[in-house]
Amino acid sequence: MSSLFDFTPENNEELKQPKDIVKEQCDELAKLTHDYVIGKIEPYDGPIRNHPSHLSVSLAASLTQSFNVQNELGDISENRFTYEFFISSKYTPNFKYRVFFLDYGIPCYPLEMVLDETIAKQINMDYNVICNNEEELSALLKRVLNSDKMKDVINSLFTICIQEVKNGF
Amino acid sequence: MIICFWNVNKNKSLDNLILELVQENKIDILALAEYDNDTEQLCKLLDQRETRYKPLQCIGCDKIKGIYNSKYTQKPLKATSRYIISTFSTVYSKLLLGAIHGPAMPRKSDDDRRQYYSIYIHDIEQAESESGINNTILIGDFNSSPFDGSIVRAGAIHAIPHKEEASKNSRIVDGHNYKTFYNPTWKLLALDKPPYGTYYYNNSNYENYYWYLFDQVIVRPGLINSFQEDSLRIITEINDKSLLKNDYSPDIAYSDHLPIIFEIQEEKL
Repeated sequence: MSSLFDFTPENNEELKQPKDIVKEQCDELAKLTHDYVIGKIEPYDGPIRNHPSHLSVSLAASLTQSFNVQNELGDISENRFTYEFFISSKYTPNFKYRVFFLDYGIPCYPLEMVLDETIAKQINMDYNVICNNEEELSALLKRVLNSDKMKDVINSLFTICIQEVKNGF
Repeated sequence: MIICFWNVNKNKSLDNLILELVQENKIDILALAEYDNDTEQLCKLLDQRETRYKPLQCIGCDKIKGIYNSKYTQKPLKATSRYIISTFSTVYSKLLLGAIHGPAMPRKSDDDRRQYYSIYIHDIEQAESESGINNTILIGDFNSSPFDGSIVRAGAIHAIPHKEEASKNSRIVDGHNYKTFYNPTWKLLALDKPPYGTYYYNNSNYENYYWYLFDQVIVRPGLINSFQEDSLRIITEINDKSLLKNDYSPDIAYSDHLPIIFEIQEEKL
């Protein structure tokens, strides 16, 4: 029997994974701070939601369609990609300040970002934010990275590194 | 090692009283919630005396500040807006200390705190795993009572009031293994005279507890032997100045919370 597929798969390299978008900003932070302040996005296997009434994106999305919790719930935890984005520094490598969790499935959008409480307040957002596409993620990321709290943390870690360098470490 | 926690209710005029608290009780680690002054300045004031103090490194944490005796070494491991997790090196061993100011009522329910503390405990367990230290102490204003689900439930803090049960180190629930904590703070619920907690709130609701024990210390079972049970108390006086009003509720001229204090016997670590 000949192939019933009437298309060939597209290699859509321009479609970035959300974690890679965050990773690019980690690289920018390293450049900005001469590799002293480090941003990292790493896989995370713990709970992420700080409020029991917040639904996961996949669950929320599913609720807009025909959805049987008995049939579907088992599948929802599968194929999830959950990451923790944190800030550290060259001279405090064991220290992590968590900025947010990122949680998405296949497809990547909509995704959920669970923000640090103070950053959420500073940028007038809820802790749990849904991004429906890459543009929304980039816009949110810009607000988070430029929040006063982020500046405080980055400045504090940068200062520690400079002091360590001056002290000859 | 003497450890104290106090929610000072944003009272900016407490520094002298805090100095007296530290000196009178020979405190080694003082963690403060709602402290709006500068801990560097607090250390400078204390350094005029015999022991040198350093500010707790609380990068990224808005809710917890503090100071510690410079004979110990603090290494911060994790911070969020509400908590810090650090190691402290002593001559004998190392401790892991989590200090937290939990989400408050009425905006957050106990279910909310249960969710929040599940993330906190995941961070604690990750810090234990990465540092190889299991001598863990949790202190803070949890905004929960010792008997609330957010403190007792497996998957949340999982802090058990009985040493013998906590000493089993873990418990299996629905096939999942949950590590235990021991919560010695329960004993402060059964005092025979006020204060019956660290926070007082009288209301006209059908359910009224009057006193709340939001400020707690919780330890891993491995610390039960070094935790001095008799040392755990609620502080009601600092240098003969009462922190209570005539009706025994906390005098908000100082703070709406009372400090708790306890000792860890380092040589038993």
